[in-house]
Amino acid sequence: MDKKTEILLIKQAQKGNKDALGRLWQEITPKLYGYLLNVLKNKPLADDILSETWLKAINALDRYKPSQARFSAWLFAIARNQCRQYWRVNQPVGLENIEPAKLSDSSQLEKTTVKIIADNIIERLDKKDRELLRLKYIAQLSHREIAALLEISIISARVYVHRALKRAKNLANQLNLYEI
Amino acid sequence: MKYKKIKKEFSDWGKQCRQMPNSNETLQQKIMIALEKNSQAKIRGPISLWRFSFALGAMALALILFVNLRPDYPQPIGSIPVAIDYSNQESEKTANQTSPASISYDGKEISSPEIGISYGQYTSGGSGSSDSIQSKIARWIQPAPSSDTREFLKTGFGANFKTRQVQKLTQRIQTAIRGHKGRIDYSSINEKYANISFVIPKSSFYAFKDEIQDYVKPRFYSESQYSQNLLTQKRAIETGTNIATSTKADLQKQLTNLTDAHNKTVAEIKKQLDNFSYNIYLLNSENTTNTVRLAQIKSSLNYYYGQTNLYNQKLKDAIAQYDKNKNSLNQKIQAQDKQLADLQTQDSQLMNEVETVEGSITIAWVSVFDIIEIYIPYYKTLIGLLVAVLVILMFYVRPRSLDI
Repeated sequence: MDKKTEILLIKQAQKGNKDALGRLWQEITPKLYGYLLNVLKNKPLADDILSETWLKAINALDRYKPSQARFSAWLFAIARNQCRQYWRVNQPVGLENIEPAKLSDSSQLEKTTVKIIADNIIERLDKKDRELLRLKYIAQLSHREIAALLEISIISARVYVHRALKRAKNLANQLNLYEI
Repeated sequence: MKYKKIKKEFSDWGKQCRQMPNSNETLQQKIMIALEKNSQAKIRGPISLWRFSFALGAMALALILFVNLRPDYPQPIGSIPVAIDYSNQESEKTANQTSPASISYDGKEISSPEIGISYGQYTSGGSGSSDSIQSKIARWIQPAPSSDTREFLKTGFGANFKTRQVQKLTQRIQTAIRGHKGRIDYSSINEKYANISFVIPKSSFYAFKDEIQDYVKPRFYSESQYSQNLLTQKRAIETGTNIATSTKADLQKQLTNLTDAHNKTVAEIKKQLDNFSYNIYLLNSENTTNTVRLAQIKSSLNYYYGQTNLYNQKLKDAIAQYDKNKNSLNQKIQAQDKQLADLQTQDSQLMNEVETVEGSITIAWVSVFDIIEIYIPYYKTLIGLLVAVLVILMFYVRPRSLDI
């Protein structure tokens, strides 16, 4: 969805148009849910936070200004905040530090080789790189949006993503993951 | 493994990660209901009650802080409550002195129009003589013409010190006053406040002022100085002296004329009495037996005796009137002499005023907060505003730390 369409839909949603909100939901929710699932590793919790995020966004929809950030980036900011609030009460131990799946099962390899390898790499990266790669490849946020979300410059965002990928590549080479 | 490949791998990974939740329909429905409720709330009012209340509360808090914590703004130098308070007294004096005054001197009436001139009055315990001078000469006060460029400057001085060592500074100032040949008329001192009223020769005033203002930093010292040309009063004294002198001369002339006239009158009466005595003598000396002539002599004698008595009475009356007028004139002359003497005293006192400076110094203890206020005059207001801004920010800017 391009920016103009998103802005148009937001304006309609702000006026109470359910169809416009439905289109936004369909467009953003897969990215947001995928992101939350990858972060939380807990489907019910991801459902809850997804729901909370949207509800908060709906309640604050009148105050949203398209000139400040894209709606998707805004939703991700709310979602990240929700996660942080959750972790403030419940320690994230056992969620982010889940052991990567073992690659011994050949049938599993055939089905989701790409996902499992990437998950293995992701889990071995540090927290910062993980977040960058999630935002870049699951949320499909641009460098500008990542920069806005993480309150860094666009150049820094570009460099950090590049370095994260490079580290992921080195990790893959070390583990010989793609030679299996 | 190449960089491009890992990039592609993660793109695929991201694509696979993206998915709808299992309870998509339910969640979407929930969101739609929320949107509907939100739209209805928007129709009811753009600002929800609790938010409005919060904003109102924050504003009220800011207002309370602003009003309660508003500092006492530094007073301008001229309004320091020192002993010399020209501003307060001016209106009273003006009111008192602008009433038309008139005085008569033997038919001459000297009136002073409403001129509205005011002059300073000291509240120190000094001589206090200026009151009497000014009240006495007020009746002759006339605006000085612009051609008269003489200056008789009376100077008043007030200073205000802020210090944390009141007693020590007070002693230093008293020493300085005496050191400059001044006189302390009044002094009061306690732990947190001191007041000194003094008189100092004008010749050493500026040296004294330079000395005391170095006792503290400039921010802790303020002064007010007042100078007024007493030319109006001086001219009034001169006018009064001239009038009294000329009046006295007139009275003396009247006395001379009175004496001359009296002497002339007495001389004429005495001359008449002498004539009467001589005629009586002649009539008594005449020797005749003629009855007719005797009757004429008797009638003439009766007439002369009567006239003699009459002129004796006239003489007595003339002397009495003369004494009375003479005493009256002498009294008037004496009054003028007294007035001239008073004017001379007033003139010398006025010149003393011109030659000296009366002043008052207050020394006030200053707290640490006052010191802060001296350097940052509106800090309390700033704190109030800062709190208000923080309250508003706490509400409107939610902490969303976006760090990784």
